[in-house]
Amino acid sequence: MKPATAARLVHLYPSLWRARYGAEFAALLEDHPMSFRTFSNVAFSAVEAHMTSSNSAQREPAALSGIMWWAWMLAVAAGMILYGTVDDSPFVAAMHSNSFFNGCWIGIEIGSVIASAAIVLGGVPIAWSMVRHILTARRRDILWRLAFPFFGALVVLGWVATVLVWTGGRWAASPWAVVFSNPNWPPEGLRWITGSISAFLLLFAFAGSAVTVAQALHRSEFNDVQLSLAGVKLYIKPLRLAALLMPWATSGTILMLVSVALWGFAASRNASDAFHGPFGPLGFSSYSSWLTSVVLFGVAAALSARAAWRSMAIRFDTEHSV
Amino acid sequence: MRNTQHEIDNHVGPGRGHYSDPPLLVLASLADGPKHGYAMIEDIFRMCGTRLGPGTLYGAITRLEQQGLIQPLESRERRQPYRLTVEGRRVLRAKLATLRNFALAGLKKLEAR
Repeated sequence: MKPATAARLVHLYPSLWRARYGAEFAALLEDHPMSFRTFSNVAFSAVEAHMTSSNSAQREPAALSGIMWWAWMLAVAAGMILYGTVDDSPFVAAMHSNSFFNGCWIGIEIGSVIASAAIVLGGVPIAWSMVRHILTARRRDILWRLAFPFFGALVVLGWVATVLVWTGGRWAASPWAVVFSNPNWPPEGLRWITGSISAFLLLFAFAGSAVTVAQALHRSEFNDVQLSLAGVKLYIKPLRLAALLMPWATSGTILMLVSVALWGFAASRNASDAFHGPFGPLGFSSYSSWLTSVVLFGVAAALSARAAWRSMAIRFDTEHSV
Repeated sequence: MRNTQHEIDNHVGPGRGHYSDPPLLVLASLADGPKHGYAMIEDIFRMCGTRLGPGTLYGAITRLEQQGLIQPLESRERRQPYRLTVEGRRVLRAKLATLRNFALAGLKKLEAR
């Protein structure tokens, strides 16, 4: 058949399969005359390839990495909500005067360090491998998805910087400082509007980043990453490393969840007024802010635990490089 | 691998005596040396009268390569030759031995009636 016809038939297959077998399969098709029998054979085989590709050696760990990223975004959002509530609030002095209260906060910090280290160590080789795939295969669809978190951060920072310049450096449009502002300018109504826009943009950045990076992970391929350290060459399988680190990320997230829950208990006993005061984002109470954090950390811990559990069942010895 | 339908009698009618286990057919085709896709199709047809479609052939090649039973050879052409791995040769030998025992047992039963 004609090369153009063969190319069209090859496009019935999943992109991952095409990247590995597309050229040689097209060469084989060109040796066959076009017939209904050939067409139906290729079409049915392409459907089968689509069905199996969702469970292939790379798809499962890539999907698990996507779930872990979702969990991480939820945990970062939960941590940000709680940190914004505690920062520059009466909770700081109360924590200094009570060792258990302070210990809960330290537990949150230790959990965030463990989880962050696992996410960064596992995420950097994955990101590096994806960037190489984007450049070699010219996958712009993956590029813009992977770039979304940077775009989201730029939009948020750009908005905050704009408001800061507009108000002469007095107001940074922080959702946590809508009720309290020193000096008391701009007016509270304007603080509410700009603070709400900041909160919306943060939500947009976190949710968008969770969705787009998970999509990029689903679409990408992951070749080994080669590192040269002091003359020693290291070959890293990005998805395998990420799977190994998932239990660590989960442990850190669970530690944060437990510590945040205990922190709320300690806050209600040691800083009751502040706990029911309006220190949360957009003037909501600290209690509702803490509760939101607990729920988000809980969902993050459940998601990452599920991904870590499933990652232990993956047999990487069947993985093939493409 | 898929279930096998072994050819017992070539005179039972068209299409009923074909052996249809594409991965095993590919392994058997590569037993005497590396081949590319089109050569495998022709070799399999000569061997057992089954002409694999291109989609079926590459479905089998994909599975066999993932299982480490075959591997691609260096090639500067678009046609990609494959060869059996050591594990592929071991699996092929084991499957053919099972099929031989199965065929002999089945024929023995037929002759006993």
